Amino acid sequence: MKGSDSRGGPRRQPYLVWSFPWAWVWVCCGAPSLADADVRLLLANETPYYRAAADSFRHHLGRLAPGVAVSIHSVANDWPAEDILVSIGSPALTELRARYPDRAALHLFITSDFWREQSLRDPGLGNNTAVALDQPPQRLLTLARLLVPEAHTLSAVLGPHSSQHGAELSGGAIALGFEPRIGILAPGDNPIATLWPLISASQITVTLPDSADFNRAVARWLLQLSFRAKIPVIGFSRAYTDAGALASVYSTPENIGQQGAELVAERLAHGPFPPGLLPPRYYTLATNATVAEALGIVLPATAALQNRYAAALQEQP
Amino acid sequence: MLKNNKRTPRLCCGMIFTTIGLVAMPVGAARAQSGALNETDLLGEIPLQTVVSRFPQTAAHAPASVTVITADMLRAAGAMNWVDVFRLAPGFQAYAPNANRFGIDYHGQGRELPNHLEVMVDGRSVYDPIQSTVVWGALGVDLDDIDRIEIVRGPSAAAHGSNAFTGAVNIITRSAVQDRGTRVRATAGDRGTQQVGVRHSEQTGSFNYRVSLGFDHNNGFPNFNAAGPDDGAETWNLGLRSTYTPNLADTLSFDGGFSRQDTVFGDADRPDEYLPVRYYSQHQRVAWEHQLSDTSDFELTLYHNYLRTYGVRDLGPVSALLGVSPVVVPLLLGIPDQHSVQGFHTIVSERYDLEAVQRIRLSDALTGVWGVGTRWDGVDSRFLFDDGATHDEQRPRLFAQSEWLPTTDLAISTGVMLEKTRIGTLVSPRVSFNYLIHPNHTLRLSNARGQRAPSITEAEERQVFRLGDVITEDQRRVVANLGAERINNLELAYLAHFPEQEIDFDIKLFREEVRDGLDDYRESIAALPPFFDSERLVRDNVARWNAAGAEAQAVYHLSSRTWFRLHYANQDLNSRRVARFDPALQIRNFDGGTPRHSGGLLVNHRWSDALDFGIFVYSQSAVDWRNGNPISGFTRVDAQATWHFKAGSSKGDLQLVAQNLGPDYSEFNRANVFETAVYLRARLDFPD
Repeated sequence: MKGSDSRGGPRRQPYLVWSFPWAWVWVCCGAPSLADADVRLLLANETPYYRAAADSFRHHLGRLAPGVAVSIHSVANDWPAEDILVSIGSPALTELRARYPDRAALHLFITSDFWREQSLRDPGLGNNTAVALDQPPQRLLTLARLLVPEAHTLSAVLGPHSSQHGAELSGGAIALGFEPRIGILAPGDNPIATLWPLISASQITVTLPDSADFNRAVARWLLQLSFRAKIPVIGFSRAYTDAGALASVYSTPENIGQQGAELVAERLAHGPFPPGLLPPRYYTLATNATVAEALGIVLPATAALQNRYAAALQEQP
Repeated sequence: MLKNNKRTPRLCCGMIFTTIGLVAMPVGAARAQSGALNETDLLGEIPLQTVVSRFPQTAAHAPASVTVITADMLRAAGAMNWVDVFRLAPGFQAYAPNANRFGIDYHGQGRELPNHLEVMVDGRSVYDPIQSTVVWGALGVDLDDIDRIEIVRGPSAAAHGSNAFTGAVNIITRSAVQDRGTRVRATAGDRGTQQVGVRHSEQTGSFNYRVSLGFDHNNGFPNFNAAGPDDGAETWNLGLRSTYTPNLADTLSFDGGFSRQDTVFGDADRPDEYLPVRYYSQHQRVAWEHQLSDTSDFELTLYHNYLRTYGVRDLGPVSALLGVSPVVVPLLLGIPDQHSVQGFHTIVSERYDLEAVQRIRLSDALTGVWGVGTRWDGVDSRFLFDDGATHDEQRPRLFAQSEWLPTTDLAISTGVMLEKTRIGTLVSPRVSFNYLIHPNHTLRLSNARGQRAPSITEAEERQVFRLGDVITEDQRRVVANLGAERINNLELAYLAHFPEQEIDFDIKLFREEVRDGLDDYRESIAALPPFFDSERLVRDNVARWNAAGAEAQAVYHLSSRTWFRLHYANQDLNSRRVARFDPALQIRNFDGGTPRHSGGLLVNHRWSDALDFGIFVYSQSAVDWRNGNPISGFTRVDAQATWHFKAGSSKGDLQLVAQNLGPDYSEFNRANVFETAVYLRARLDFPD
């Protein structure tokens, strides 16, 4: 199936726009310690998407702070105290925390679920900063509303992990004018018997990420049943769109790398990272023209979709 | 009916233990440290089906050229039969030796019974060992039930075994889960065409099933009706697909089917020799899919095919055939005067196939599949073997395929199939290097080698005609030490995807060398009654050919209402075969056995939500069909218009199909004259 994608994000805050030139001037004029700081990127391994995030990070930081050296590492070594530490991937976060439990660092390419769980195990992690890879449910709901404005009923089937977002998803759906129908599917349940009543009674379905085995097992039936019911699916990854979802919103390694570079540039300009987990600032939209045609849905042109989606996100509280 | 002496299939005990071992294997340790979602969960694969390597791959990573024919394409092209279907794929030769007998081949040599293409229906091989080809009339598949057809254009023995010598086709029918409710369809049109069918899909708790029943009748080519012989056909199909999903990790499916076709055997070159035949086929398939972990799944499949063919024609008394008095026959032949019958009487083939497959993602850069299987084929035919025994063969197999991504822009695919056959263990490897010169532009260099063992009939055929105990004709034998056919294929391909313009394009240059190809030569025989042939055919590894050329295909979505699909193939065939050893060596070629140029353009435009229109232009250059006639090139234009409507809670469509809007043309034989034919189809879907 064919798809297209477009990249974008919520409109950048004005102060950020103005801060970058000043950060550049500040760095070039020689800040006492940070100007000499190196950025240490710790990669979980050589997996292509970690590498792509690292490349994007380096590219964007090179543009924002040309004088800053960025080195990529596979093992956490003894790094000077003034260096800025950035981990890419959840194994790298774990390793960096074990090596430097008292240093603030930036963690990229992790899930919010992983961050929450690690924070419980490692209270000191709260002083660190992270960028979530997964999208807030509201972004999927907004895309659903944008592509099928007339839809009244929205369904979702949640698994063992994603069920914790049930209330957030339900509230967000109601705020956008949907009547949510949310079901829970346990690994021992019959998937078709659970999915079909929900899908057949709705006009659009959204999926939230769960464990990979759950995602794989559910996607097969979800896509077939939604196609049987002529109901579009909004997915959370490019793979979902390629497999038969109408559209997906997700953050690519390049998106995450770009946001990481901007955070480091902000730190160079303004001091410490803001602690806590940040939602992904940039995202990518993917649509499946074949599915849209089969369902009789007219997709906007890529640029128009991007602009309308960004505007829709801005309108939300 | 099957004879009692048929041996029970010997399914390897080792396979069972292997299967148990696989299922008991511990799940992956991807979540060893944490129970939380990680980035792999978000970026994990959502399964796509593909036939190339037997695990999900993008086209940019696939080790061979792929064509996917979708149900939408079949509808847009107004396809009425299998020839219409495969003319949508570049490099394919699709032809009709008679109105209801089809030959489908890829990089073929113009044979009436092509034997180098593996064809599967939902993963079940329908390549039949009787004629070493596919009996398309006995497939039991209605075109309306097809979801898509995945085609590997290139040797695929590494993934699908010996018979995928030049390519592999998987016809995927609509699953039991895809539909719900009842569909009724009917078609009427030229050549006395009458088709009716009903399909019902239902869900009962964890169980989904689809039952379909179809009837198809046509009178064949009109010019033959006038002359007497009729190459029409009447076909009944009954099919069942079912799926049971007890939980998220397990899926059980059962498919079964029955088909009966009454038609004629033979080609239009000699219509007076048409032999009335009845094909009766049935199949059963059970499969268990189990998700072992987030990186691995397992599938166990067992299926059974059964095909019975019956064809007999009474030629009249021997005395009348010889033009002598009945009292002279005993003096001449030593037997009393009696009726001579022509035909192969009853031929039965049966197949059992058991296969266990594990698909596994070892890391983000390494994905693969491996499996073991065994196949038992048996054929009963006094006509083919001149005895009453069951001729059988068991072929165990072991295979593995992998895709390794050493860098973000390089994919290396490797695969190998080991098959233990009657002529020894065959090894068929394949390797491919796919280099992403840009995220949407890929170069592929691949090399596939295959070995094909002769089928049961090819290896053991012994055709003689008898009157009583007297051999009156000796038609064919096979040399004792028949060997494997060998192919070596080299391809360089470029694939492009233009997302903004919604264009997909790929082109490949190929060179194929086939050695030790099976073919027939003639030899003189003596000691037969003087009224009969003094020559017979001998099957041996006496052919070799090189093929080179280019194939391209492109899809362009001009707008949400209009799309184009274009394909073209250029093939240069250089061949030689031994036609006779004695008294002097005769070498022939079949260079003209495939069209030098072939291609098609399919356009579909949706005027409104209720009306769409499609046109398919297909053209091919001249072919000297080996078992037919030299036929000049032709261009055929088909068109269809479909009106989609709703009636209460039901919906349906009415389709008008006009085939060959241009002048008449011949196919395979000069006598197969295609005139303009018009059909009207109606389909009505009733919701559950």
